[in-house]
Amino acid sequence: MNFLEWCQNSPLSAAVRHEAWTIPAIEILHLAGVVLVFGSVLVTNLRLLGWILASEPASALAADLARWTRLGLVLLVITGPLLFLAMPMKLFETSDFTVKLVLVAIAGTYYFAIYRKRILAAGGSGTLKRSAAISLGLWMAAIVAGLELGAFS
Amino acid sequence: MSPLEIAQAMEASPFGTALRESRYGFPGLIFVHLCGLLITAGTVFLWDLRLLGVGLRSTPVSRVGQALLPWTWSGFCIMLLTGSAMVCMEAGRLYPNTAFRVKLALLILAGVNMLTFHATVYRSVGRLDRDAVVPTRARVAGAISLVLWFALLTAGRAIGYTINYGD
Repeated sequence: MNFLEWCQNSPLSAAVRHEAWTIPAIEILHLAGVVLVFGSVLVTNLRLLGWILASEPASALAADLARWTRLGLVLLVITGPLLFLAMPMKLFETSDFTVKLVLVAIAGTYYFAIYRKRILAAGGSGTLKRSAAISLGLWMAAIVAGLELGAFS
Repeated sequence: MSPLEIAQAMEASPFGTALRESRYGFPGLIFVHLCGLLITAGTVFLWDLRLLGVGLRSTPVSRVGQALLPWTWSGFCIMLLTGSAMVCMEAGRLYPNTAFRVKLALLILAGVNMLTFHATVYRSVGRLDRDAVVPTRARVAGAISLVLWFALLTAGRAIGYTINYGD
C-alpha cells in the first residue's frame, strides 16, 4: 500500500489530476497507442499465418510493421504509467489491473525475447506460424484485459 | 415527431429500457464496441499510413486495400451494431450531447472522404501501384482520414465524460 500512496502523493500524480482535461487526453493517446500496436500486430501475424497478403514477402512487411508496433508501444509506455500515477488506488481496487499487467509483461517478453528474433531470421516455416499465432494470442489477451478494465471500471 | 421526441421514444422502448436496466448492458456493449474499434481503426490507420507513403511501402496500394478492407468493414459492422444499441439505451441523453453530435458529424465526414477517394484517386489504382512516390491527392486523402479517425476516437471518449445523468 505504501507504494500506491507514494504514487498518489507524487507531484507528477498531482499534475496529471490538476486539470480536468489531462486524464481524458492521456486516455485518448493511450487508446491510439493500443490501436497502433493492435493494427500492426494483427496484420503482421495474419501475413505470417498466410491468411492475407500471401504473395507479398513476409520479412519486408514484418520489418515495416514492427516500426509502427514500436511507436505504439512507446506511446503506451509513456501514457500508461501517467494514467497509473493519476489513479493508483482505483486501479488496484480489483485484481483486473494486476491481470492486465501480467498479460502485458508476458506478451512483451515473448515479443522482444523470442518472436522478433524468429521473424528477423525469416522464412515461412512452421515455427514461424506457431510464433505468429502465439504472439497474436498473447497481445490480444493483454489488449482485451485492458479494454475490459476500461469498460467495466 | 421532433428528433428529440424520437430519441426519447427510443430510450423509452422496451429494448432501450432492458439494456439500461441490465447490469452488464453498458459495460458489455462498450467492450464489444472497443473491440470493433481496434479492428477498424487499426486497419484504417495502416491504410492511411500506406496512402501517406510512410508505411507498408513495399506492398502495392491495391493489395493493401484488398487485404485490409474486409477487416475494416467487419470491425465497422461490430461498432455500428453496438453503437446503435447504446444509442437506443441513452438516446434522450445523447441527443443534446455535443460530443455525440460532433461524433456523428465526423462519421459522415469520414464516409464522404472515403467515397470521394474511391470515386477519384482509387479509380487509377493501377497507377498508384506502379508509382514509386504516392501522388499528393492520395496523401491528402490519407491525412484527412487519419485526422478524422483520431477526432472520432476523441469525440467518442468525450461522450463518456460529458453525458449528463443529472436528471
